[in-house]
This record gives sequence, C-alpha cells and structure tokens, in this order.
Amino acid sequence: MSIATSSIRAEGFTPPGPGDFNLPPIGPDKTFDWLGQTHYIGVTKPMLQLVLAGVLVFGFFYIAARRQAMVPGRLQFMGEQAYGFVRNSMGRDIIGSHDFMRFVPYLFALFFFILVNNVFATIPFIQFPTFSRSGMVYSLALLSWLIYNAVGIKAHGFLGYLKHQSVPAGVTGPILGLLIPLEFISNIIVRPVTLALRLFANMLAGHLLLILFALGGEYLLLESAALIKPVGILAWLLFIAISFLELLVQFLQAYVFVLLNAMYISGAVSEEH
Amino acid sequence: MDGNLNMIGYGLAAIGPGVGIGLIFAAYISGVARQPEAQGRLQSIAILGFALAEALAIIGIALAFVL
Amino acid sequence: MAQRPPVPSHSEVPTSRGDAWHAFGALAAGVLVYGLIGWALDSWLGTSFLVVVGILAGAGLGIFMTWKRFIAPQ
Repeated sequence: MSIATSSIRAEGFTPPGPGDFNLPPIGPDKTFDWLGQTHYIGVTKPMLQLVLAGVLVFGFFYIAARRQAMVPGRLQFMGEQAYGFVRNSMGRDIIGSHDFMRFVPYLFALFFFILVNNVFATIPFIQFPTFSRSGMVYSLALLSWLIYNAVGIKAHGFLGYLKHQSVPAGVTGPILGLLIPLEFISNIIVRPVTLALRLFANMLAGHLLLILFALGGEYLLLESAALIKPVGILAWLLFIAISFLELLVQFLQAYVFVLLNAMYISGAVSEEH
Repeated sequence: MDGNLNMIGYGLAAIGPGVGIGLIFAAYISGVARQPEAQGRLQSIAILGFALAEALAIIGIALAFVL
Repeated sequence: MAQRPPVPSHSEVPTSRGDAWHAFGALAAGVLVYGLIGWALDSWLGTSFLVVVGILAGAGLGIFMTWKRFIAPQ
C-alpha cells in the first residue's frame, strides 16, 4: 500500500468534497449558532437560483399561453408540447383518465421547476445545481408526501388508507404480523426519502465529479512533472464529455422525480385490494 | 491513504448485482420485443428477479455502514 | 389520420400489481426495519451479531413480500 501511494503523491492538492457546496452568503456575513452548528444569515446563491427558476418557468409559460390562438405560433406551440408531455405521459397514463386533471398543475410545475434548477448546473456563470443542497430537495419530497397522503386519506378515509398502505395483498396468517410494519415503513417512510435522496445524490455526485476533473486537470497541468502534463488535458476532455452526460442525468432525474410522484398519487387513489 | 476498507468492499460487492440486474432486464426487453402480449406476465418475473439481485446490493450497503 | 383507439391508462391495464419501485421499497424497508430491531436487541443484550441477522431476515422478508405481490396471485 505504501509503495503505491508514495509514487503518486500529490502535495498541495486538496480534493474537492461536499464542503465545497456550502456557498457563502451574498452581503454581510452574519452567523448564528443553532444545534451546535454555525449557520449564515443572508441570501446565498442557491436561494437566488430558486427564485430565478420560478420566475423563468412562470414567465415562459405565461408568455406562451397569453394569446391562445387557435393556430398556434412557435412559442405557443412549444409551450403546448411541453405541457402536453407532462399532462399525457405522466398525468393521464399513470393516474388514469378519471381524476388526473386535479394533479396536472402540480406535476407540470414541479417538472419544469426541477428541470430548470438542474440545468443551472450546466449554464455558464451559474454552474451550480440547486438540488445539490439537500434541504431544498427534502422540502420538495415533504410536499409530495403530504400531497399523496392527503389524497389517499380523502379517498379511503384515515383507517381505510392505513389499511390500504400497510396490508399487502394476498397474505394471510401470522406472517402478516411481520409484514405489516415492513409495508407501512416501505410506503410511508422509505418513499419520500428515496425520492429526495435519488435527486440529491445524483446532482451532488455529478457536480462533484465535474469539480474533480476541472481542479485535478488544472493541478496536473500546472504543477506536475512534464511527462504527466498531458493527463491534465485528458482530464479536461473528460470534463467536457461528462458535462454532456450530466445534461442527460439532469433531464432524467427531473423526469423520474415527477413520474414517481404520479405513481405514488395513483397508488394512493387507486381502488385495488 | 485515507478511507474505509468497508467502502472498497461495498464497491466491489456492487459489481455483481449491477451485472445481474442488467442481464435480467435485457432478457425482459427481448422477451417483450418478441411477443408484446406477454408483457404483463414477464413483468412480474422480471421484478422478482430484480428484487433477488438487488437484495445483495442492499445487504452490501447496509453492512458497509454497520460493521 | 385514422382515429386511434383510446390508450388504457396505468391503473386500467390488468398487468402486475405493482412495479419495480414497490420491490425496491419493500427490500429497503425490510433491511431498515429489521436491521434496526436487530441493532436494538444487540445493544440491549450485549451481543454483536444480531444486527447482521436482522439485516438478512429483513432482506428475506422483503423478497417474500415481493414474491407474494408479483408471482403468487397467478
């Protein structure tokens, strides 16, 4: 082990870590202590990005839908295609044609909000995925959890909804006692946690990889022996390649988040077993 | 070299389930491509196979943190 | 263009009773709950292996639940 590390030692290079995602506040630097940790008072860049994403999504669809011409122009057509994508493939196909229209505004706004926030990681001068801050993701998951539970309770009643979620189908006998807590935890606790964790971990890991390639390539180019310098260029080429992969991942994660939301709502409302 | 041997063990242990789940869903996709009417029946078997293969990965990550 | 037949939605098509996320959630919940019970028993009784037993039992129960949901009704 020591031979391997002694020949590839990199003095002076501190690898990036999750601490690099704590951006300082814009403006005065006041801190306060709560629960043993120091927190900033102030507006940070991810908070501004959330507001910017909201303004962009609302602005685009408001302007696209303003004229409501029978033969749509280009902007209105784009807006209609975007809306139809969420409404049909995620609303109607998953929740069913009976009562999916109630949920389409939520799913539609959620999809484009998450997509714009994710794509902020690739846009120059912004280059920070808002959902690599876990608090923001868990708030979205909490909202989804409240919605699908509230919808289920309204459809089945409180005890009926608990029975619907906790009792697996087709199982009788004493093993039910072992399976009921498992099914309850799986439907009520694991679902929002995995929903949030999937988006958060993908955004954090992807961006951390990009930071590592950029900083590592720069370190190799500037401060290593002459024979190793081309590896720095290779690191930067990989940075470009993985940026394209990250674009795909950003779209996919937004799609999967909203798709799973629709499936949880459909599962809570459905009349099975 | 800092770090935890547990995580190296988990990384190695995740190769198997990764390959296994890829094989299962490759078979599912070709089965549905040959005969689209069989999608319902094949989906049940595919998901059971997925659960069996994924169990090892989940046991791996649980033990990597616990032990 | 000819009229397309209405596409049946997810809840109307009589396929299996769930999807891959049910299977994954059942497995993860099983490992979590029974691992936690095993760990609590460990710290209460002073042993050190009950955590592993709990995790394995949880995984087994998760697989059993998945089998019941998907294969057994046929």
